[in-house]
Amino acid sequence: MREIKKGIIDSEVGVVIGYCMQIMERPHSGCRGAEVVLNLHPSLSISIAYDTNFGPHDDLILLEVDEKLLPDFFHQRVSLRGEQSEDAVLCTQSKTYSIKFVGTSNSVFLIPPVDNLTLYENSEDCNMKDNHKSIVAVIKVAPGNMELVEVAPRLDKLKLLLLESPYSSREELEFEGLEEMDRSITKRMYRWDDLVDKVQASENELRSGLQAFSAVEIDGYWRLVDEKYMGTILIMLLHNSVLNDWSLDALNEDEVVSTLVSDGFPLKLSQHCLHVFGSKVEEGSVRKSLWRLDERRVCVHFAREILVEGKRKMDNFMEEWKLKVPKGMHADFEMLEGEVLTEKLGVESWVHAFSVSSLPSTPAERFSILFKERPKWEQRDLLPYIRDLNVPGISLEGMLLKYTRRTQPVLDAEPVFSAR
Amino acid sequence: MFTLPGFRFCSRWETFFFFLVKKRGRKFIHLPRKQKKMQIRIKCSCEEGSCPDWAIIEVQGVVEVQPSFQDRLRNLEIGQLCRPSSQENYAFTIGYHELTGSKVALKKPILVLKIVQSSDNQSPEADLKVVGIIRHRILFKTRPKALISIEC
Repeated sequence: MREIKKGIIDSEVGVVIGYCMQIMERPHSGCRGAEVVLNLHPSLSISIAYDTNFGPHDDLILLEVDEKLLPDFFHQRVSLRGEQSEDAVLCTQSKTYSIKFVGTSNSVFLIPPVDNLTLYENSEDCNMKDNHKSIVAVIKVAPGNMELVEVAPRLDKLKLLLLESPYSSREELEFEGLEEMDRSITKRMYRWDDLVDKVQASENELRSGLQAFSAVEIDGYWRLVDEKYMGTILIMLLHNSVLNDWSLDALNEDEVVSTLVSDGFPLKLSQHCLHVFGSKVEEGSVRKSLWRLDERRVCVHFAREILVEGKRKMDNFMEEWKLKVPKGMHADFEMLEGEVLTEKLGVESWVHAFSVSSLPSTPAERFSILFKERPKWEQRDLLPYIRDLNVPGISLEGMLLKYTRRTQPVLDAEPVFSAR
Repeated sequence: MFTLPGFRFCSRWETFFFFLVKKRGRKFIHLPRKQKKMQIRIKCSCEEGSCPDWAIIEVQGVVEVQPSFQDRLRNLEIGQLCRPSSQENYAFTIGYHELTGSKVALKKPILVLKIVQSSDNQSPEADLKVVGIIRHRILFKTRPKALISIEC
């Protein structure tokens, strides 16, 4: 015969009220919630029962979250992003997380605090119970919880969106007289808010991405400028620098921009030219903004310009390249790491354009394209094309292990990578 | 099966229990997709210190209900939870089995989110809202003990 001792529960009320936060209402007599379970008084016992509204409650989700992310949740700085065809990601201000469901074979009884029971109707059924007994209600048995895994922002889509309507030299002519609204209908253009909505990345990562792609905001729309057009503006800038005897290491922003504008280029793009091909010079006391042209970026631009038509013989290419770069700049083949590839056809060396910036940012796709280009890669050739890959939690070595097959034909020789 | 005065049903452990199995998989949150916006901000009406605490009692196994009570789960008692001493040890009695466990702090807190359907005529949008936080669970992972008498 079994005996069940009833716990002494009168003192529990004191415990519950003492523990409760200000927002809690007085619990219904006979009905208790999470607080009681978490603060069960020694030598007391309580009854655990299925709530009146017990059910699957698929609208209740458990999400495991790192302690340091909690403030972002409490201050409503977190959002879920994704289109119907994409899996949802969770974004804070600066990071992106994919959401995984972790199932469990355990029975996880979920018990809300007392005032939450009032979210559901008919919780006053509790009053029917024996007043001495404390009953704690289980609202749901959770099948598992969601977990967050930090991932790289999905910026390939950003590029695709921006490439839908690059800004070219014809833009002003095409749209002269058209209202802004008509313009955005004929061309698919995106404002910041549209991009935030469509791209699965945190706002900080989105901003960095726009900067990395050299995008520029014109009339509220984020645009990629056609390379040819930027080249035209650069040439103009270089002509003017010779004419006016400007130093390429200390270009005066106002002077440069006003000259370009008077030559017929839009203000925004004239400013953007400095951003694309130069960097600001940090001068403490000087009021005016000074810019220095970046040798590598300028030289790479001219190299790409030569190779846009197709591959060229190495000697031929180097000769032309050296002529094209501005006076004072030195064209070094090493600058073209990650931008061009060389191949031997017969006795001749040929070079063609292959820029890392045109490749996908997800490792699987990146390696797939790389191995399509070349079935075998030597380590030193491969590195410039994978250095920029960023996947949280996996190192470069890890990625090589995962996506490539490594062989070393001769000891001491460089390792060679091919597709798995 | 015993039917005891004051109890409405007895539970019984089917097979003794199995090791905890965690299945990790990809699953997308299935949010109602009628909305046009691709962004759902997770709302929270509680401030840092005052997010309501929810509790979890976790057992390594499955509680089975007698077939005759299958459709009448609501308000049915599962078992008795008690805390014999001032230590964080707990005893959970389900039917004639007693489980022993303890209150454990979660390695990472778990937020309880609720999908809230706003039934506007213009936009059948759904929102996600933080309704609670779980920092501890009462975990029972030892073999249940078959009882002849219960002391608490």
